[in-house]
Amino acid sequence: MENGLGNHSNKLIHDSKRTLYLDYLPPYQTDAVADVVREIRAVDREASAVLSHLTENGTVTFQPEEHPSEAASLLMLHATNLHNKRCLMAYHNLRLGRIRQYCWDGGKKMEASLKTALSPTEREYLSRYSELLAAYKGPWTDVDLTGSTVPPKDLFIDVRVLEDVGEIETEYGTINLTKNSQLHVRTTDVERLIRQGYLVKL
Amino acid sequence: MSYYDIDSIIAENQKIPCTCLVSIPGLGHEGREVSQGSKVELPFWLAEVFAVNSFVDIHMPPPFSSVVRNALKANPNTVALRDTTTHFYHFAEQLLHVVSDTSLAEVVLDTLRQRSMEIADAAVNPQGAIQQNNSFIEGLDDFERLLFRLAYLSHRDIARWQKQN
Repeated sequence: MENGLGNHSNKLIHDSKRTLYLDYLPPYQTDAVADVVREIRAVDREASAVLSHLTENGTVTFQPEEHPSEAASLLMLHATNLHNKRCLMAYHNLRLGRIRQYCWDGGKKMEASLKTALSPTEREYLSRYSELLAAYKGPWTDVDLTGSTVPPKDLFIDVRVLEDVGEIETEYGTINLTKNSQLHVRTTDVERLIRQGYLVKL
Repeated sequence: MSYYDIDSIIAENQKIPCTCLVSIPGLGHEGREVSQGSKVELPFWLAEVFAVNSFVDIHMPPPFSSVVRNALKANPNTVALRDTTTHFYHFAEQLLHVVSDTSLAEVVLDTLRQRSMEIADAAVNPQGAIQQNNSFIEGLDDFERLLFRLAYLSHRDIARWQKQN
């Protein structure tokens, strides 16, 4: 707006709109969020000042009909705060939704950028949500709730190892995974590692 | 149209011309007072709240002016909606909550119906779209782009599934 209100929250909304089309999560906008919060507090102080001036510090009740201009001004300040709150909520909601999606997808794909892109509170959310998810999956040992929903095509597949994982235990013995080796393995064993990005299907 | 929806927020952020019925301090540039009877452009979320309390009179914003409406009545497929505003349908919906203008509602619905056919055709037939309908696709607003993407993706998935077997 002309008087400068609502401009900081626009930045957050633009970032949210951009995030909708991206695969990864862009960094947390600490500065923009701090600006919006500061604006909310400033508007609140201003509204309290107007109101206390009109009611003479609480002695007289405020009649909107008698002071239409001030009433309009108070309404503008209040509506601005509600709008700012909505923008903050929408921004955070979008990011948290992405974090939850990341947990349900099984975990490794975004990890490199994720460490820097999240705020401290979001990181805590991530770790506690992962714990919750693990506790939820716990009782079912033979079904992986975060696994692939597409049935595998072949019993055995060729994979190349992208990173050193070491040895993995399978029903039919142990397999040693060293970087850049190519292996012919049972799909069920490696499916999880493919999703996490350690192996790639050929 | 929900509280958290980003597109709703963007649609409600669009400016709309209003005339103040009372003088409003703090609204003008750098917090100056806006005198009674003067015209201001306010974001819709503010204009809506003011109008309901009779502090301003709202006027038809440019995207729904009679020029645009006549063009839409004549031939909806040739109008580049994106040039009027990026969230045409969302904005119309929000505006119609406050203003009762049945002719606007009819024009918007009719536009959507006719353009949807073109969108579906363009999505399913990409060669034709790239050569002939390029300006049409660039003129789609946000909601229409979503429809376009959905139509294209679902068509592609069906084609893939059919080829598999």
